Amino acid sequence: MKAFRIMLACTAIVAFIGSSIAFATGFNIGASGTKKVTFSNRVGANQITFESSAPLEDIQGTANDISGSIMLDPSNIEATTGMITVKVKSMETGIKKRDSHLMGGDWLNEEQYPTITFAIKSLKNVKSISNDNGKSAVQAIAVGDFTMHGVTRQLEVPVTLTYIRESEKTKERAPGDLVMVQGDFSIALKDFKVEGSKGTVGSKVGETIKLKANFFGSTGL
Amino acid sequence: MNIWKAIVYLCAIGVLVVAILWLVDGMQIYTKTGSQVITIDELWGTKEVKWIPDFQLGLLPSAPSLSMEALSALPIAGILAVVGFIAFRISRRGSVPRP
Repeated sequence: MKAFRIMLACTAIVAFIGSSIAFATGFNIGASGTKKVTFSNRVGANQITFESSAPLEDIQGTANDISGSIMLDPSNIEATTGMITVKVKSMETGIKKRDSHLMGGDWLNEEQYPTITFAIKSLKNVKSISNDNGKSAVQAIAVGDFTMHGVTRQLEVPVTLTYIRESEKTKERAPGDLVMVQGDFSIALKDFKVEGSKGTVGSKVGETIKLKANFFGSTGL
Repeated sequence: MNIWKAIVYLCAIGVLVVAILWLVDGMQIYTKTGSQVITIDELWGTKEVKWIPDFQLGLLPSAPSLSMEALSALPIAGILAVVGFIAFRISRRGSVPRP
C-alpha cells in the first residue's frame, strides 16, 4: 500500500513537471532568452489594412505609421508582452476628403486621440505550424488592451508569429533575428464610441471594421 | 442644322462620354482620388498596399465641396440631360410649320 502511495506521488510529480514544460511553447530553433523585438520598416512594411462593408459602399484603407516592440522569449512564447502604436494621421482610404473626415471629431478625433494602441499582456493557445531551415511559425491568441478613440477594451486577437534566425540573407534587411507578427480581427465602432456623422454608420460605413495587421521587427535594432 | 439641334447632339455625346468614363473607371459609387498598388515582400510573402494619386470618376460625389471629389457622373450626366431636353423642345418648337 505504501509503495502504491509513493508511486502515485511520483506520478503526480512527473505529471506536474511535464505539464509545466508543455505549457511553455517555443519556436524550436535553438534560440532562447527574452529578446526585445523592435518593429521597423527595414525588416518589412509595417502596415494595418482595414475594411468596412456597408450597403452603399465597401471601403478599404491602410495605416502605415506604426511603431512598437515586443519582449519575446523564443523558448516561452506565452510570456510575450509588448506595445504597438499606430498613428491615426497615417490612415488613408483613397479619398482625401474622406481621410480628413476620418480624423475629425465625428470619427476618430485625431487631435484628441492621435494614436491607436495595443498593449499585449500575454499569448495563449500557442500552436507550432511550421519549422524548417531556421524559420519557425506559431499560431496563438494575443491577449491585450486595445485603445482607440480614448476607449480601452480587452481584446483577444488571433496572431501568427514567424521567427527567422539571423543569416546572411536576413542581414540584408536588419541585424539580429527577424520576427513577423500577423493579426486578423474585427472591432465594432460602437465599442469604442465612434459614432460617425449622422446616419453614416450602417449605410456608408460598416458597423464593424475588419483589420489585418503585419508587423516586422528585429532583435538587433 | 440650327444651334439647338447641335446642343442636343452635344449633350447626348456628353452623357455617353461620362457614362463610358464611369464604366472605364471601374463603376465606383463614389469618386476616388487614389488607387491601391500592391507589392509582395519576397522574404515574408506578405502584401504591402501603397496609394497612388489616381482620379476615378464615381456615380456620386464623395465630398460636397469645390474639389475633385465633387466631380461625379450622375450630376454631370443629369445637367447635360436637362440641357439637352430643353434644347430638344426648343428645336422642335422652332421646326413646327406655322399655319
